[in-house]
Amino acid sequence: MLSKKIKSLSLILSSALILSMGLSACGSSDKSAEAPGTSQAASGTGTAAASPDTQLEPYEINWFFPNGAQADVNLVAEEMSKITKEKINAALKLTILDWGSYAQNMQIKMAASEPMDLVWTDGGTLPYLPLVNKGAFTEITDDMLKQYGPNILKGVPETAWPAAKVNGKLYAIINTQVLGRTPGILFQKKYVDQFGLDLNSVKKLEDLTAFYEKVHAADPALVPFEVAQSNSGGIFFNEYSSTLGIELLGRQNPAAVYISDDSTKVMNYFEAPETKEYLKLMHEWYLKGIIKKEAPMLKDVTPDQKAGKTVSIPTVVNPDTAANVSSKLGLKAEEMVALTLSKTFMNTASIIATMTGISKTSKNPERCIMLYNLLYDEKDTKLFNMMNYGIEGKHYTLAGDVATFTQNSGYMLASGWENGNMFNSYRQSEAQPEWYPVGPDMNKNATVSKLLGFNLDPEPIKNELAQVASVVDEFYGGLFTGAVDPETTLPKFLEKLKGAGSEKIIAEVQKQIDGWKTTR
Amino acid sequence: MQKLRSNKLNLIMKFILTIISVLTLLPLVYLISVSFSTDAGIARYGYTLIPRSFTLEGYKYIFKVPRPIITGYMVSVTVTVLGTALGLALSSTLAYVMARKDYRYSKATSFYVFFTMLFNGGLVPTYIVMTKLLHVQNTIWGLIIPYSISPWFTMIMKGFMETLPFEIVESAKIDGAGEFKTFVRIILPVAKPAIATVGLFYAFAYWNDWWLAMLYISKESLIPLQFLLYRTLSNLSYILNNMSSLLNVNMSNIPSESVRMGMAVIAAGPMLILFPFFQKHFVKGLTVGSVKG
Repeated sequence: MLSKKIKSLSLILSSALILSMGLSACGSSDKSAEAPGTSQAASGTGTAAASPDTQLEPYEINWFFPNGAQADVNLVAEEMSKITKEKINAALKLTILDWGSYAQNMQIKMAASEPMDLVWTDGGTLPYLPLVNKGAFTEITDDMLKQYGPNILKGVPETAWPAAKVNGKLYAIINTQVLGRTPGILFQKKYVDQFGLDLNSVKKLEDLTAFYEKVHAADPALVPFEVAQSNSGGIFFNEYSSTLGIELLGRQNPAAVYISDDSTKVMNYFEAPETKEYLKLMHEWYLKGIIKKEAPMLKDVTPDQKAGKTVSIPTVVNPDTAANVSSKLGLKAEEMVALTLSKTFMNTASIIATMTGISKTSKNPERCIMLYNLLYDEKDTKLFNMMNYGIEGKHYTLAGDVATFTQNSGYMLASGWENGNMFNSYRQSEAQPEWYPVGPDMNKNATVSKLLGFNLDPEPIKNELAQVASVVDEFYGGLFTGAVDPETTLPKFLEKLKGAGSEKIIAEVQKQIDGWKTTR
Repeated sequence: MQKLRSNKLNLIMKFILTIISVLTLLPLVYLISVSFSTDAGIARYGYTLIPRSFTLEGYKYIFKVPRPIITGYMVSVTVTVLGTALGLALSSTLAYVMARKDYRYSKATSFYVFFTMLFNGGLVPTYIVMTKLLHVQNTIWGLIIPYSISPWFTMIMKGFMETLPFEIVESAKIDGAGEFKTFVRIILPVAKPAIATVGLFYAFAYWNDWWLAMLYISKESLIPLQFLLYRTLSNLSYILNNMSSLLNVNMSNIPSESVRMGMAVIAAGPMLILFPFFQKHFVKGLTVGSVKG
């Protein structure tokens, strides 16, 4: 009897063993393809970045970033590797994860200390600061940048670096794009012409009321000013606040400062008279039919855009915005015209919106910087554009510096803001202005936040922030889409905010800012 | 009198059940309807039960580049078939052993299985075991192994097997059958309802899963259908919600409403067809298993 039991037990055990052996065999064949050898720090000669260094050991750079899935990603990575092998003796492996699951996936990978080299990070999707505090990234020293990344230092405006530093130390390379944000409105040109709007005369949103009224009167089916629950005009105040001279720390965080205020006194931005004026205007527009009735409930604006009913879209205006947005409306870039409402404003959030860190588990951080140096190369943009547009002839065709995508080609990342210097990217249409010198000039001339480099530590006010955020969520949609009257609702909202602890938040933020100023 | 009352009760029950079934069916009808509507039509009329602007554009769009959907189908079918077979093999053997009255550690084993229902390894340790010990990432096993034995399904199976008379095992032994032969030739045929039920559970779990693909798969050729769908939808909602924080998102590959719903219809299809075939066993297996559960 007993021997029978032992026999059956051993059967189970041995089958489990066989199974696991089979599995590890499957896995190991896969693993041998991974990083060959454990090459240590490259022989640090100053010439490493500039010329091919035969002393560099072969290495594979493992890069993780979020984007839409690309069928030919391995093909493109192989093609890119040909260039990088020649220049820095490193192959490249690209792993694209979708936006929705990127953060969760990466956090698990980091917790499991999986071998990784480059990891995309930002302020909100996969937040930079907590990862730095957890020690997920390797410090990037000034010497490393000077030695291996001269192009990076050239490409990133000097004013921007403090935003990415934590306690004076840098943990990620800033991806260069227009690093500030320029609030503005994009119009369909035909309506601007038809109703005689002089864009030069528009200084603030109020100046547009008459134009929008005319549009609505002419055809009520049109959407004069695009507003939806969680995008477009619904959260346009995030951008427009800088036109009004207010710097927000976050949409759900009431603490804010006036941009021109040298004493950086923290206030509640929902209480600011400028905010009230804005809300009143939105409510007026809502009642006049300038804003769609469904706006507070509306989630998806694409049907209106595709139907060509959208007359104007409040947005961040960059040199390529018209070209990008026009395709959504089925228009050409020159059929849209952009109005900027104020100067570009650069703050911590807008700068850390897209960065690439070097994982603590990377065995060769120097090589990662060398790779980034190649992507930042102004003179030879082939590698960078290959990453974004794929292989010439297969995925796109090039005429001058204008890339035309091949339909359903299997690769079209077109996200230069995510992997280097956007300004080195090919243009996507003739109508798009060239990046040089417009882009770098925008960065150079931007108004810079007085709080650059300040990062709020939410820990001491975690509960208040959560409670306040839920109050904000309750009222924000109604107020900022103009659906409810600010005269009656705003006081109720402010009352509830106080109850949720907004004053404590403001005091704590003030304390942290004051403390940060003394250490600077 | 008695009969009248039971008739009345019957009618009320039928009424309630009708409402419930309508409530569950309506979203599905909407889904199918939207997949045949144009975006402009949706914008004008809203969602309607019968599409007022009929179009096949959504499906045309999906099948224009059918490669991801076809690979997705193949991966999902492979994973479901292999996973269900493996899951059934593991849980039926384990359940049988636990149900055997002459197995001294039956209680201890049951407790061990039950314990994992309350406390599991946690996400990160599980991930480490899967990727560093078993190296299943980016292989088909990454989609199969983690779900290959479910304590809950095993307990259902055990509940059913405990109702089988022990005498049949003994008589098999007297007839000269070994343990394995007894299990395969005697127990499995008798346990058919439980096997069908638990098999369907496993099949559902595998077919509907996108989580494992998210964790372990980054190779396009191993993306199952559900993850394909999940990815499309989550990307879309992410981009719509974060439009202002990303200065330059490429919007041209965002599908229209009808395309999204079309994909949902295609992904849901096989399970809808499969279910009725199992229904007979399903009901029986559930009730029988629960007697002693």
